[in-house]
Amino acid sequence: MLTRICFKFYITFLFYGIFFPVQSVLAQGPPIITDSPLLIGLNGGSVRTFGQYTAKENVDVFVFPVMVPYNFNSKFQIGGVLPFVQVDLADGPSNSGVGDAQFFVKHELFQKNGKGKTFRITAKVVQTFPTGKTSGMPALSPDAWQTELDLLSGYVTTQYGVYLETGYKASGNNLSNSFIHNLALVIPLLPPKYPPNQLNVSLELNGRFDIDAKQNNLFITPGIQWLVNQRLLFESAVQLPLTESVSKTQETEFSILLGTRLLIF
Amino acid sequence: MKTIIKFLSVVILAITVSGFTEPPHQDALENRTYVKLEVDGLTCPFCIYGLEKRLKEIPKIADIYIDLDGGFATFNVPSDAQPTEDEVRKLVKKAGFTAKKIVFSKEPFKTVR
Repeated sequence: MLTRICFKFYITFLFYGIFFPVQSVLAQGPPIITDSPLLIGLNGGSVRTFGQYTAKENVDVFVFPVMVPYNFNSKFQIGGVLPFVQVDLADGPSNSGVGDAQFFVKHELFQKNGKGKTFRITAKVVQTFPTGKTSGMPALSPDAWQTELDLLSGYVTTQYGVYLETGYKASGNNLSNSFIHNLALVIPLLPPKYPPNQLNVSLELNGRFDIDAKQNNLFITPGIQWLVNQRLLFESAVQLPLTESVSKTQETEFSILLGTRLLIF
Repeated sequence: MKTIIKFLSVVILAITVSGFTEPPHQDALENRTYVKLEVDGLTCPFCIYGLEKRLKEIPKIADIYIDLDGGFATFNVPSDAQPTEDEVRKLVKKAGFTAKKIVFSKEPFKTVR
């Protein structure tokens, strides 16, 4: 029984540890991981790509998701994410292939605009499908259906932006359900102009409370984003653990996030 | 001799000045309406991108300029294709923003680009 519980916690940690940062592809930035309630900028369909390398103490992960969002209007968006995942266990085997596909819907619930400022609240539902490879070691998927419901809010001005994401993630296959809580502050360093050549710095608190395991995991994530133009964005962040309720050997030392987003059409 | 020098100076000056003066654009010869609208909610470069794409739905629109800091946009259209204030407001709303004061003018607006 004890072994089974330990295995469950280990699997929960392993897959959340690995795939926790993957949700950042849904963030339509700024910020980098915390999602934004602003659905503007798109006009119909587009493709976003986001390469991310995460180095942990016991595992290195490269995730390259392709995200296709489609705006029906400025308040309603649907989209899908299909990631390519490579997992390298330290002193162990490696595996790579297609990870879990996601489908998401975002709907803006509230909008209050002022001169050079806006406050918005958006609801988001993310459905994760267990499409990832489970054969081989390490597996690329927890082989679980997961449903996440989030509330995104943000107060954004031309001088700064404050973003809050709170949500609940229900998971199958004996994975722990969890509360998601992300908070971000973003400050543009260059005067705003168009076409954009913008440099943003961000500081995020990214948290997840695993309900079944009663474990809280909180990371601080300073980051930087460079908007080269209206189509291309580079970003980088370092994620450091503030609190991690896992055993010493499973603790995260740090994660490095390197990304690019390209609006193709 | 002095008269000739004065005459040549005037001619050279006139040629020089005319060289720096842009010939009137084809559109300037048309009867155009210049539009300036205050837009609430503009906070980021992507906001401008979204608004610009919506404004381009106005037929024959030209010289779109959006000022993020100032929170306004200007453009011009041929007067016979001038959109109504309501049409402009709807486009701004479709882009995800709020249009405030909209001014239609026969004279271009002074903007610092």
